Parts: sequence; structure tokens; C-alpha cells
Amino acid sequence: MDFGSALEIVTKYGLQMLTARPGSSVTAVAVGRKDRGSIVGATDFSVSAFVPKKLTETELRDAGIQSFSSLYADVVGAPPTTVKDVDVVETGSPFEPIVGLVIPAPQHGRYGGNPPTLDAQKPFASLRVGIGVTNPVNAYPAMLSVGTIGFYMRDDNDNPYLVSNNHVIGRSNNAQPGEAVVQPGTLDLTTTELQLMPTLAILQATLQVAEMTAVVQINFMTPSNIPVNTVDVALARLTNSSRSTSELHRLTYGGSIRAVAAPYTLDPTTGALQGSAMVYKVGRTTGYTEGIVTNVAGTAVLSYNGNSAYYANQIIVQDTSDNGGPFSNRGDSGSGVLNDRHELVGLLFAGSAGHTLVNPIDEVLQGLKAAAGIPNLTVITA
Amino acid sequence: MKRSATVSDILQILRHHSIELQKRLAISPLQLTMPTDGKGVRIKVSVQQGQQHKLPRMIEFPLGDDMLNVPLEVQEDYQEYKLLHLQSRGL
Repeated sequence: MDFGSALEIVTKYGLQMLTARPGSSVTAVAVGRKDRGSIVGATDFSVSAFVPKKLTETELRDAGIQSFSSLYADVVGAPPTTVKDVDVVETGSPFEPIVGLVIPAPQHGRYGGNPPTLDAQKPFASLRVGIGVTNPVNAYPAMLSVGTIGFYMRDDNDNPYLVSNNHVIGRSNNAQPGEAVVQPGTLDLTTTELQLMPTLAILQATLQVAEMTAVVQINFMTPSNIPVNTVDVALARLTNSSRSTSELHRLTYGGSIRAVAAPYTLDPTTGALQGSAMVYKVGRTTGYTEGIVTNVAGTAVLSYNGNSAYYANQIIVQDTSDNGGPFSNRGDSGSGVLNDRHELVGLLFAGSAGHTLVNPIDEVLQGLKAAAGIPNLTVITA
Repeated sequence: MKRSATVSDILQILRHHSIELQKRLAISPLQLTMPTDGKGVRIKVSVQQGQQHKLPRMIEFPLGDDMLNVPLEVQEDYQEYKLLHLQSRGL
């Protein structure tokens, strides 16, 4: 039968089919296909009854259970037109709600939390965008930290690099070329992992994925001078680790960075954002989230361990109401920000309650090329 | 020449002259942005509670050879931004 007819029968008579008589073994009724093929693209549908165990006619009779075809006829008021109009599916057991699911805490990472199904906080065999990362030098094991890998780049010699914030992997200007960068971030290690890697040397030998190449210097405020910063970014060259580098364009939660694009274009008369204002990011803490660009060319003062830095030309992103949570949170620093075509438009580095600051991508790339002295660095895209 | 600020002017002021503008507004702390809602070309000034009345709705600002009339939208919605890395003591 056609989909509409099957749906009407299930909607109108489904409850009666489940409760028609005591001893009925039907536990669910739905629209399906008798040949169990995909319903996508199908044209011939059936009313499917789900039972814990399919019985022969003799077994049904002996058990005093009505066959589904007979039940269908009684409830609908007419028998199925063809045998393909009804189907019985054996499920093995009745449907039951999954209650009392308990996850031991902490399940992952010393500092606990219930990780999502696809967990950006764990070690990844194949490096990708949006996973946790740390520069542990001069910190581990006394201090643990984590940020996010925003995207990857390649130079003319095909050497790959990862990009995150200066305050994540660049130790806020203090990182030296060659310092190890590890994945996952040290804050995401379990107690057992921390105990198995008690020293920086062991940690680096086990989890290093890159070595520092360059930072774009953050210029701090002094009593007599307020230098203007526009990016908080650093570059680290991927090392010969056991990790695959075959899908560096890939986002942790699916899809890829497809290109690089201007962060925004504005109507020259009204200043309205042209095109979609929606942006997305994949980060270690909040995963895949969506936001909306509400302001541009923003200024802010950020604190870096007692030093203050003044930023201008920042993109301001606000959480959307559909997000179910913030666009970003602590640990998402370094996330690449994408437009609705998954084009890279910025690098996330700071936030307040409800808003996130994003460096515009053109300034990020310009700064990195100059700081690294590699003019032909290009973003790795799908 | 005296004229009204355009989108391009606002962007130029915020990108290259924001410190000068902040000094002229003489309130601290504050944040400057350009809203992208299309509801008029202006600079949004975010200030702390109780500061809104101290700022005008329009300011004259020199840019190049011109003296621009720059509309200000002052809101008491200043929020401190923090870096989004995560740190904790180890074992």
C-alpha cells in the first residue's frame, strides 16, 4: 500500500492493535516494508507489527493468540488487500525503556565529566580539527591545561602544521621553537595515564604530535603604551608520530573545512551582515556548536597571567537559542570558526557570558606567515 | 568637511583609531563594536551599570580631512572577556 494509507492505519488503529485483546503479543506497530528494505525511496509499504517471537499458525492457535492479519481485519474493519500490506517482525524481546543508565564518574580524564559519544578530549589516532591539545613545557606535571586545534596548514615542502592560540600552545609568547605539543591535552588525561607518565619526558615521548614553530607575539599594555593586537595564534609543525595525517581537514564531528573565506561582508549603506550570519565551531569542550555574528570590529582587553593585552577588530559571536548551551567555553580556545558553508572564517580565543571573541581569519593567516617566515603557508582543506 | 559616518568610516575608526576614541569617551572599562543588525550605522559602546548617562548619542570624530558625526548606541552590557583555555593543578 502507499505510505499515506499505511500511516493512516497505524495512526488511527495502532493503539487498538496493541490493546485489542489480552494475550496479544504485539508490542509495537509501525509503517515499514515487508521485504525489510530501506524505506527511503520505497513506494510499497506495510503495516508492521513487532512481536518478541514469531509463532506458526499452530503455535498461535495453541496459545490462543490471534494472527496479526486477523487482528488487522478486526480492528480496521477489512482484511489486508494483499499479503504485502502486513508484516510481522520478531524483535527477540519486548521494547523496554532504557532507565537507570549510570556512567561511572570520572569516566574520562582525571577531572571527570560524562564524555559525548564522539569525544574530542581523547587521544586520536587520526589527527583532525577540533580536538584537545597542550604545550606542556614548564608546566607538566604540576599544571595541566588544554585548548583546541583550530585547523592545519601546509608549506611548499608539504610539511603539515597545526594552529591554535598563542596562549594555548605558545605559552603566551614564552614558547621556544622545538617545544613539544601533545594530544590529547594534559588536562584530559586520566589518573592512571598521569601516573604512567610522571615526567615531561615520558609524556612527550608518548603523546607528542608537533613541535613549536612560531607565535604571533602578543603585545602587552604598559603604563605608557597600549599596543593593538588582532590575533592570538601560534603554529606548530607536525612531527613523525604514530598519528595519521590523512584527514587534517576533517572536523571531529563530521564534515570538513572546505575553504577559507572572508569573515563577513557588510551592506555598505546599512552595515547589515550580508549572507548568513550563522557560524559554527568544533571545540574540545563544547563540541560542535552554532552561533550568530552580532557585532564586528570589536575591542576588548584580555588578561594573560597578570599582563593585559588590548585587542581590536574582533568578531563577536552570540549563542543561538537552538544551541542548548554556550557557543564556547573554557577549553575551546583555538577552535576554528566556520561559516555555513564550512569555510574557515576565524579563530576563537576568548569569551564572556553569552559572547565569544573570534580573530578574523585574514589577520590570523597574515600573522602566521609573517611570524613563521613562511609566506606560502596554506590552510589544509577538503 | 562635516558629514555622517559611513560603514566604512566606522570600521576604520574601530580598527585603527579605537584607542583614541576610547580616550575621548573617557569612561573605563568599555567595549566598542559595530552591530551588524542593519538598524543604522553606529558604534555600540558597552559600559558598566550606571555609566550610560555619561555618554552622548553622537560624537564628532576626525577622520582624514573630514569631521564625522558618529552615532553612539550606549548599553550597560559590559562583560569581561576571558581566555578560553582550561588549566588545573596536576596530581
